[in-house]
Order: sequence, then structure tokens, then C-alpha cells
Amino acid sequence: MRTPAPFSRRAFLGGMLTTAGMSTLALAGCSTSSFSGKARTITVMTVSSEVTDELLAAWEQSHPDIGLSFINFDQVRLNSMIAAGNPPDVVRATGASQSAYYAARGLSHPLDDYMKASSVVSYDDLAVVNDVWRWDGKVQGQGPHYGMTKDWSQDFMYWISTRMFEEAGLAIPTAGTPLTYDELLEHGRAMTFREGGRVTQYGLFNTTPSVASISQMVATAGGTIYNDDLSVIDFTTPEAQRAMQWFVDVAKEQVGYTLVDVSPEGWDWPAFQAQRLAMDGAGYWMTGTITPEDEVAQYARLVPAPVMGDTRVSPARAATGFWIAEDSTMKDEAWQFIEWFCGGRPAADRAKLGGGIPPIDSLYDSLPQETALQKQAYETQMNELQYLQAIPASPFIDPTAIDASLSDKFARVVRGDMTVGQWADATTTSVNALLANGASLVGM
Amino acid sequence: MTVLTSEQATAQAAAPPQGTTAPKRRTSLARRKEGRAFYGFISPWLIGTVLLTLFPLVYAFAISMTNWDGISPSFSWVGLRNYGDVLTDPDTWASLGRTGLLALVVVPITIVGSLLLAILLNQKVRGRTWFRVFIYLPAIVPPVAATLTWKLIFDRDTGALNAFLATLGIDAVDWFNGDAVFGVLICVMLWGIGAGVIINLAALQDVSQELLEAATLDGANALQRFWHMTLPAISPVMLFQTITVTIGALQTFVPALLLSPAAGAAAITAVPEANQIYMIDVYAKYFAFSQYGPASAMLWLFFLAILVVTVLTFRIGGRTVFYAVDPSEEGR
Repeated sequence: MRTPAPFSRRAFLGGMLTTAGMSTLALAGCSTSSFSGKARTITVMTVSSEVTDELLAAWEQSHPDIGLSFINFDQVRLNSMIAAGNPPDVVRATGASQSAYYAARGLSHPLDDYMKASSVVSYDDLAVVNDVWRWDGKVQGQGPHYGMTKDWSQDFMYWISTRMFEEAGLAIPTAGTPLTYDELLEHGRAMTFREGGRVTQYGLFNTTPSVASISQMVATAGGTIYNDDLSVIDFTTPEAQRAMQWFVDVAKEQVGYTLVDVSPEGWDWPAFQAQRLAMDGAGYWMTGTITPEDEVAQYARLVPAPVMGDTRVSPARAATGFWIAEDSTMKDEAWQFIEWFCGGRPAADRAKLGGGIPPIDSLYDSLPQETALQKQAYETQMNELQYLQAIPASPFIDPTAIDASLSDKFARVVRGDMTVGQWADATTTSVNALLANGASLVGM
Repeated sequence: MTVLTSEQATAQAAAPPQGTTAPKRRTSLARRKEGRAFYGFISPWLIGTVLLTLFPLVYAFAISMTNWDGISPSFSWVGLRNYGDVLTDPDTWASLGRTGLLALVVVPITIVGSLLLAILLNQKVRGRTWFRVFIYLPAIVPPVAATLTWKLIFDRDTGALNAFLATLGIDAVDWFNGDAVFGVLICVMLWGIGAGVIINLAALQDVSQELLEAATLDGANALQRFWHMTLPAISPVMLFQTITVTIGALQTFVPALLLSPAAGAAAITAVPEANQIYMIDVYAKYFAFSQYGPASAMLWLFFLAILVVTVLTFRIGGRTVFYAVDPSEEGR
């Protein structure tokens, strides 16, 4: 006779599924990292390098009753947390390119009521760059603010090494006379040196074909790559193709780091600092990184954004800041963090160091002007402000997807397997498909 | 050939005389205890399978039939459209082709290479323990560290390999561009061959020495002993290795991503075309293009393809594998 089983398999599997379900709930409940020991703790998703002991001590002193729990920024994790209905309370983002994308999906919370009632930030004192966070349901730059910038730069400005320019017999660009992109390529060529297949010195800063770069280049030629409601993109216009051709030429001639010759350090600053690169593609914010002891400080100079056409357009590509999740249950506390970090003492400290332009007009005077380099950078930057202009960012698509589409076939174009025209056609088609899908998801 | 398993032997030895009731109760208690232990031990694995495999599979299947972008609160059902799209996308087939090529290169080299190395390490030579350690050591280095080390070695401007080539008067090679990077990927994957060596070594040491000695006495030479005695004896292990290495090669992802010249979020879009294998394509669709539907469809199609490859390997390999225990009897 068969002995009865000690457990029924069915009961066991049922119990197991129940355990699995309970585990899922338990995991969902504890998905937002550490506990700070405070009764009220907000979760902030930002880059870990911004979370210093000094910063935490300063917060503890000024806000003893609100704990902070930090999560390192990770887009995939953010998406997962949003999908699970448990987003961080405060999230870091690039306002210029992402704010409309989040706002159009109802993910971010308008901050104007907080801004107007704030004792730390004066609404009238907000720098114009904060307009990149505004969204009225159709147009970026109008309507409520869905975030606040922490600091910013006109990111198409770049640094040059005067020593390398002089050695190559090239004129130093001035604040009033930007170089054209064609001149940049020529200069890059003149300052690139090779030895046995290796590059010992690059002339041009790191270049990557991106929607922001192409938009800026096309804007200086008086054009745009989007239609009026930002639902259709067009890389096939003569201006856009000219911009794309420039990136291909730079990559083919190997006069700077590109997508097919990526910097081993990940970005171009270390090479510039080590004087192996004649130009560095970073804006004013780099001022805070160069110390008087750095040898490169003797040669570094900030110069205006280049132009492809006749119009000077010098946008903020990032305008990085923070937004509050619509699903946050602690919006008041989340705002206290934003107003403190973006407009309070940390903002004033960053301004004094030159770690970007502050998002508050009254803090402009705090920018450093002690050393020759700081003075030069400050004057050039202040002059450049008159050319600040937003470049369009569609609410229907994450700009990363457009950049990925541009990158996708870039190597083939550089190799000569595709023409720039074919690249423009293919990218336009693939991005428009994504835009159409995004528009249907947003309900527009 | 059928042998008595230890479980059967134990059961027979412990069997009480018929017609007694106390021993029956004891058997029932022992069986209950054994059942508890069995379910207790497999519970974590089964719960993990449900949570981390079955649920994601079903979830991914549901997503594969939507136009969701991974972040929007809403989505629409699109049926099987995503499956049609990815199956007619030339990039899907191109990445699948590169993945197949990678498996065709890596699997035979890993299987044969690890066996040859295991045979060498099975010889009675002075210091063989140290040789074993050195061969196995790379297998326990974390893949991230190993890949980054290879990146430094192959770097065009500062890498050790190009520095060596320069001493020979050869111009620097741009290893991370063009088709050369596919070779770097293969190097990285073969770096972990030591794990296979250890498994083969264990199998070799399990081969009956009596049988080998008998064959020697019967006049079999070394090659004949290997071909007719050793290889059949270790064939189940070889089949296991073939299946696991094939699946591993087809699912290669981390080394290809780490060999991207760019870091961080830009890494996925900077993966050189030669290394744009299937899982890289899937990852890019998810996290660079926000196409969760097509990416999930790709994963499901790949899951089915791997299932077919595994079943075929079992069927074909099963005909040539020699089991010391009759598989039809084992586990009854």
C-alpha cells in the first residue's frame, strides 16, 4: 500500500506561492534603501558625488527633524520605482532636456506655490534658466515650474589651451568672436599629433552627435529640427545634415575623441588637465575644478559657444536640478530639501567656488573673480548670457533615445557604409516612430 | 548497465520484516521527516524560481504585447505587433548572427580547451597544484575586474599590448574599433576557461583506474584508452558543459557592455557594431530607446530559441553520452 505523502504537493505549491507573494509585498515595502532614524525621511535620488559628509552635517543642523535617504541616480531604477508607484521624493534631472518629458506624463509636481511661499528662495530672484522647468501642457518655458535648477552653464562654451593655440600659430578666440564649427575642425586638425598610430595630442574637444548639439548648430543657422508641437523631428534639412556631416568629418579625421574613438577616461577633462588635449568641451562650471596650483590654470581660457551659421545661440544643455514626484507623500519636506540645496547655503557655497552659475540672480556676484583665470571665465560667461536661448526638447521622448538613434549608425557612416543623407533619413524615421508612440502614451 | 544506487541500497538494508507494525510507524515517521527536509531544502529555490524567473517571464510576456515605454503611466495593447516588428528588423537578425558566431567560436574552444588543460593538469608532475591554482585563478576574478583589465591591456594609446607591438616596430592597433573588438570579446570570454578545467579535472579523476589499468594490460595505448575509456566515462560531464557553455555564450552581455569604450549611461550606445550581440540589442531597446514592448518580445523569442537549442543538444548529445547508471532506472 502506498504510504500517504507527508505533505500534499498541491498544498506545498500553494504555500510556496503564498510565500512568494508575501515576499514580493515585503520587498516592495522595503525597496527604498536606508533608514535615517528620523520620523520623517525623504528619499533623494541624485549622484553620489554630490552627497558629502559636510552636506549631510549642514542639513542635519538646519533641518534636524527631516531625515535624508539617498539613492544613487540610476534611470532604470527610477523607472522601476515609478512603475511600482513608489518613486523617490526628490529626483535629479536635466531640466533643459527632461523636465517636459516628466511633466507631460504627470510624474512631477508643480512647485510654484512652494516657490512663492519660500523664505529661502525669492520667486522674483529666480534666474531665467529655471524657465526650462516650466510646462503649460504644450510649451516648455511657459506655465508652472516642475523643478528647480541647482546650477548651470552655457554648455556649448568650451575651454582652450592658449599654449597649444599659440604653438600652432592660431589666434585665440575672444568673448566677442566665437569660432565657427568649420574653424574648430581646422584648429583641431592643426593641434592633433600622432606617433606610430597613437595619438599623443588631440586638438578638438570630445564630440558626440546628439540632439542637443545638432539643435544648437541648426539654431545658429536660423533653423530648428522640430515641428511646432515637437511631435515630429527632421534631420534631413540641409542645416541638420550639415551639422551631422561635421560630426562625421571630425570622427573621420580623428582630431578629437568621438563615438568611434572614445576617451579612455570617459570624458575629456583629464586629458585637457594633463595637457594632451587642446580644447575641453565643458562650460563655466569647470572653473571650480581648476585650482591655481594646476599647471593648466596658466593656459586655460573659457571661450564662447561656436556657431555654424550667423546667429549666436548659447543654450544650457542640462540646467541640472531636482523635481518632486507627484506620488510623493512628503512633498513639503521634499521642497525643503530643494529650496535648501538649490537656493540655500549649498547653492551659495557652490557659487563661491565657481561650480556652475547659480539658479538665483542675486548669487551671481558670489562667483569667484580672484585669479586671472576666474576673472577671464567670469567676464566671458557674463558676456555670453545675452546669447542664452533654450533649444527645444520634446515631451514625447527621452532625449537619450534620440541620441541612441543618432549613435546607432554613426560608425557605419564614418566607415563609409552609409551616407550622411541615409543616416539622416534612418534617424528621422526611427525617432519619429518613437515620438508617435510617446505622443500616444501622453495622450496628445 | 544498471547499478544499485546508494538510496536503494539504504532502503533495502533498512527494510523491516513484513507483518510488523512498529517498524511501519517508524518508516512513516522517517518518511515524513524526509519529506519535510526535502521540501525545506528546495523551498528557497522554488520560491526564487517563482519570484525571479516565472513571474518576470509572465510579466515580460505581458509587456511584449504593449507599447509601454517603461515610465508612462499608460500603455496600449498591441497584440503580437512587436513580435512582427522585431522579426522583420534587420538589426535583430544581425545581432543574432553575431551572437551565433560568438557561440560557434567560444563553445568549442572552451569545451576542447578546458578538457586539454584538465588532461595536462591531471598528469603527475611536480608542482601541479600550483598549475591548477594558476589556471583556475582567472575564473574567480570578478568579470568586471577581468574585463576592465583587458580594456587597459588593449587600449590603443596607453595599452600594454600596443606598447609591446611598438617595441617590434608595429603601429598601434585600434582594438576597440571595427571588427578587432570582437576578438577582444572572445579573449575576455575565454579568460574564464578555468572553471571548465576544474569540472573536467574532477570528471577525469573519477574515471576508474582499474578499468584503465585493465585496458593497458590488454594492450591499449594512451590514445585508445582516452578515446574508448576516458571520453565515454566523462561524456555526461562534457554534455553538461556543452549545454551550460552554449547557453552562457548565447546570453553574453556583461563583457560586451564593459568593453564599450564609453562608461555609464553612454556605454550602451557606444558598443562597437561588431560587439552588438543579441543581449546588447535587447538592453539598448529597453534602456536607451525605451521600447519595452519590442525588447520584451525579443527576450521571449530568445528564450524560446535557447529552449530549442538546449533540447536539441540534449537529444543529439544524449545519443553519444555514456551513463554509468541507466538514466531510465535512476531516480525511480
